[in-house]
Amino acid sequence: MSTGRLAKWGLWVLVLLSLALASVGCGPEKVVVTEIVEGQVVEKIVTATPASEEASPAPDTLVVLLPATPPGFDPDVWGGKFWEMALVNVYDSVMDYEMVSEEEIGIPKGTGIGGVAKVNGMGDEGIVGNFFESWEISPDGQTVTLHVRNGLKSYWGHQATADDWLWRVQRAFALKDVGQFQLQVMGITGPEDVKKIDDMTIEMHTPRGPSPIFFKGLCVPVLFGVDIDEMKKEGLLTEEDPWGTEAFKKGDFGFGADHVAEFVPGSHVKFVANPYYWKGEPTFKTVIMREVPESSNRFAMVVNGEAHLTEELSLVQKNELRAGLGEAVLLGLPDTNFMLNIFAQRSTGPFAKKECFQALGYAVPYEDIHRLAYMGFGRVMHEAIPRMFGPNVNLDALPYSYDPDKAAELWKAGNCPSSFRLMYDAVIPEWEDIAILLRTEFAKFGVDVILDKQAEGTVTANLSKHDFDAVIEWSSAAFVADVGYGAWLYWHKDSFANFQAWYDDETSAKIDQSMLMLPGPERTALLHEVQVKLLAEGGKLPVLNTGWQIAANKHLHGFYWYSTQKIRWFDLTWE
Amino acid sequence: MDGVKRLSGTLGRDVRYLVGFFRARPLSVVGLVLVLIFVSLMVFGRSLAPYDPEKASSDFLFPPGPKHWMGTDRAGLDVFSRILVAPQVDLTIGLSAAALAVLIGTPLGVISGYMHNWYGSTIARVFDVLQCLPPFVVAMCLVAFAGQSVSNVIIVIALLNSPLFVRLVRSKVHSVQERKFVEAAACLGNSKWRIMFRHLLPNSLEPVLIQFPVNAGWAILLTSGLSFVGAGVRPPTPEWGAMIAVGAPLLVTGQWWVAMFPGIAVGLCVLGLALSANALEILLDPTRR
Amino acid sequence: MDRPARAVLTRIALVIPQLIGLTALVFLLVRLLPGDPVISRLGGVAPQESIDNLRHKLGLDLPIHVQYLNYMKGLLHGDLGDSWRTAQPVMEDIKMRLPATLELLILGMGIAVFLGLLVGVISAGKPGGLVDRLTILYALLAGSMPEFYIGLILVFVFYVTLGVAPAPAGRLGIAMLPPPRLTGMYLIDSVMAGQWDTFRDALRHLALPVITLSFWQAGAIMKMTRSTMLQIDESDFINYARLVGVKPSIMRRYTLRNALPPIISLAITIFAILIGAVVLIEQVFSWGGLGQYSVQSVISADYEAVTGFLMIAASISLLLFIVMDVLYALIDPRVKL
Repeated sequence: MSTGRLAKWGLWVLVLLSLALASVGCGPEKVVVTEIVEGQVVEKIVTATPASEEASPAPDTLVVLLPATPPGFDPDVWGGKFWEMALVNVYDSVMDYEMVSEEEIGIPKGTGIGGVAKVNGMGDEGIVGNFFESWEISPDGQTVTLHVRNGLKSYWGHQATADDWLWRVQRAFALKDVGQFQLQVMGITGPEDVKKIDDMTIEMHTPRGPSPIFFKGLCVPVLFGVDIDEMKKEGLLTEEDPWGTEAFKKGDFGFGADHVAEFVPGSHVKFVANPYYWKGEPTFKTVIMREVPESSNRFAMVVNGEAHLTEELSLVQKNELRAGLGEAVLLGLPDTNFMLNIFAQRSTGPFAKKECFQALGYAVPYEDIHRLAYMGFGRVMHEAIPRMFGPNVNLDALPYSYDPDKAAELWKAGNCPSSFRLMYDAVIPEWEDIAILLRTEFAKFGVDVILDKQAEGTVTANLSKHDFDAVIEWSSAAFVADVGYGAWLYWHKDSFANFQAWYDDETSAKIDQSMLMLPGPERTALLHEVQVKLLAEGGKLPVLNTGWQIAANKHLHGFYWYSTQKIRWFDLTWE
Repeated sequence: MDGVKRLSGTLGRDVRYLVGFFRARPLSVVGLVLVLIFVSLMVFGRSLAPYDPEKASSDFLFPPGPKHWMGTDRAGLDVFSRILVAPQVDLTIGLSAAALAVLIGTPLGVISGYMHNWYGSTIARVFDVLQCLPPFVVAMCLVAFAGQSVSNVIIVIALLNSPLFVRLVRSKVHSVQERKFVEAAACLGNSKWRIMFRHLLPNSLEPVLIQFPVNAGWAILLTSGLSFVGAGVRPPTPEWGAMIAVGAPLLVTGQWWVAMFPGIAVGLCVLGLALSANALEILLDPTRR
Repeated sequence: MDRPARAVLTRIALVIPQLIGLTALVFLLVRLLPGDPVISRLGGVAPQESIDNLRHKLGLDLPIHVQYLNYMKGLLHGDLGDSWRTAQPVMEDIKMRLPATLELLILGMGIAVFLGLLVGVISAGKPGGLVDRLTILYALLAGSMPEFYIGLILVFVFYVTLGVAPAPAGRLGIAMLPPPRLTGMYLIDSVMAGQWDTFRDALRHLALPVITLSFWQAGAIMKMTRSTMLQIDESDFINYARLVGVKPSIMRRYTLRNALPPIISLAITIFAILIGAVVLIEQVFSWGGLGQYSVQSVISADYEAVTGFLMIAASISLLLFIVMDVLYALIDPRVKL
């Protein structure tokens, strides 16, 4: 046989061999998937859509779809969910939690999540620096010296300095809004508590005592340094507008991974990568956040590959994506820090009486809500604060379970009224299902639940004014991952987020006490005790931990769970 | 004896006329039948429904099948039952809103049409202004303010529809008042009010009667539109528009039955009303008999 | 001065008090909305100080008639306040979105009128014929269904099932950039800029919503054209023309010309109806025009945006009705204003 022929034969053999090997190696993956078939949750083994069936090059632009564009990028003007989403990408946060596995913070494993923030640490355990690269804590715990990261540069190439942070703090206290609140919660009472030691060093002091949540507070993405050199250069800080509020409406001046290049309110936001970002170069140089109000449109666009990422889909849509559909897959975590609650007003109205509230606790069909209204997503919750917040969480704090007979008994015993209003947000379809389920339950013992569907703004306004009987609403356990702080936020008699108007002096005092204690077994015991009382009488019933579900293009990787449950595009890669 | 014979003669002639009328116009029959069906559903719908239309169940998102003829929606509510009971809400709102609009609009239309002083023109101008308001957004605002109850929706829709009747009656009165008998009444010394309500009003009712079922149909469409944007009646009240609203996002994920069937139901109901209005128009017009 | 001219002037003179009444009504109406815009804006987790600050900044702590006067003063300068949702001045928001809605309305109306007139004339030519029967049936069916339902069905058939229509998610595909802005209407602007790809894409996205709008109302115009033409056909002067032997085509022209006034008035009424209905169509197709803007604004209790939208929409309707009245008075001397 001539060499030529041999070569040809050899090549063919090689080709066939590699094909054989390839086909053995890449069989379609089988996954276990829960599906709802005729009302029953069944587990099926299905063929997962292979991740890299077709090699597809990374698109230049990442397309993210949201129901609405943010109203602006001002860190001191609260702008809702999508504002938070933009903020984490243009500003980063001052500090971050270390990324660990789900096991380490005691939650079940998620799908496609590369790591979760270690929120269950105490003090500065598990905290990594971002804007500040290192710090020293004084022996009495009340003073922290922080060093600005060398090499942290803004989109315009300016190195971050202590002034950038100082100005931010001063702005927060001048505008008396979100920033100020966050700083005060951390124990910083005023701008005088923050001092510039030198160009790259800051000293922060908590005068009232050591704050157990000081470092966790700095992980909240409303606090971060701002590139005032650039702002001054562009003449954006004027006499009439010394804090640049006009400028922040249209763009950002951050040291984060991305920068707002174009903002068309109501249409889209275009972000470009920060070429000087300290962590390096991202996969996507451009990101477009586009407003598409209808969830079915967002669903369709991610499935056919026109867009790459979206959240805020309806449960039915999420369910369709469980086994993968078209270009889209469903990723997420079953258990995070977002809770679905039923709030009951405890000062006046039908639930002021203890028995009526207890009856409500027994009337809620927790399992049915999880299985039917939520289609198995998320997890039933028996704790006041999500379990991922660590050992301070009392996992069995809820004294109630579904018991319709007991509910009827108590309702009668308490002489509770024959009807009450149940309010909920019009935009979330599954909450209407929950409302209908609850209505059916109460109808069993002759109580008429009037369903009051309202706009999100109205629900929030009514909650703040305590103008409601019962409301279905979710709440995020405070971004500051601390049980004491979480208890304070929703149950303390002086907290503005105590929507239930439950004013219990004894419990509030205990919570105050816990906020001035250093982490340790004493604090844990106190908080465990408090949580039982909170759930028994506090007016905020935990129903579900709704978890986190993202619809993403099957080629996207690099999703991490941060405490704010927002995605940082810098992390994302394409395969 | 003689009188009865004469009466039955006239009656018989009328009946024979009607039979002939309907035979020549099958569409009118269809219209009447449809209206009858929906009116009876308005009364008997709830007892005919196989399931409780407001009770959640665990059969969610069943496609149409033997257990649920038109399938179920996300809360496990049976679509067929809800369609049967919906006329209780939709038709009630439609008929009441149209009736109320007539009650408001007709007398004002007569006054505005007959009185040529500033009184009359002001009424016309005021209702002109009302008619300019974009209906959905205004209705959303009003219902959001007053609360989502059936009576509020009726009042809001009636207010939005009344300018139409004012205009209609006004122009009819313009032409009627030229007729001799009105001049005669004036000569006889009848007061303005007597002329308006004893003579003009009864003779201007014809367009109102014809427009009434059409207006009821619009009211139903407006109600369903309101529910679609979330400003209609309170859930889980069965109402066609609300059912379409719930079913709209489900169309894309393949659960077409939740939105499809209620839409057909609305269409048939409003069609029936429109056809009846057509039939009324021909019946009432002596020149077309 | 002759009567029509005097009547016209009177009618126009009344515009000012009508506009004032309209603006006051709209202003009060929006103030009735539930929900506190301050708390909505701040998201409910705000300290009392922030709430009071913002309330004062927005001028919401002033008595209502002062608020109204301030608003009107602003209105005269073209300032409709700022929308809290988009953080833009409402006037800017409206200017940006108006062309999108106008494009829909003009195209939808245009096709409806064109089809309506065409088919109406044909069916009037042969009353009782097949075309006539089908026309009546179609007119009845189309007008009986909710317009958003028609839109949803079209989406279901052409997008979900057949996959020939693009996703109902706006005016252009994700990858497409809008053409340089001249009028804001993508069809015109893309042609002027020579961007044929954009033109095609915009046309594809316009197809379904425009078909929805025109399909829905063409029937009414068909019916009206047909019945008016038939009526005139039986009138004296047409009979005379027929007797005298005027050519049928010329006769048809006369008939049409005389049929125009009620058709015009119907067309204007339908335009007003479409302005109202386009709100729902925009929701279904995520159109990003004024309709969607207004719905989102009501839902978010965005006072300024809702007020601004209502002011503009109502004023346009008012002007339309005045035009209609004036036209009528000029064309038909029997009509008294």
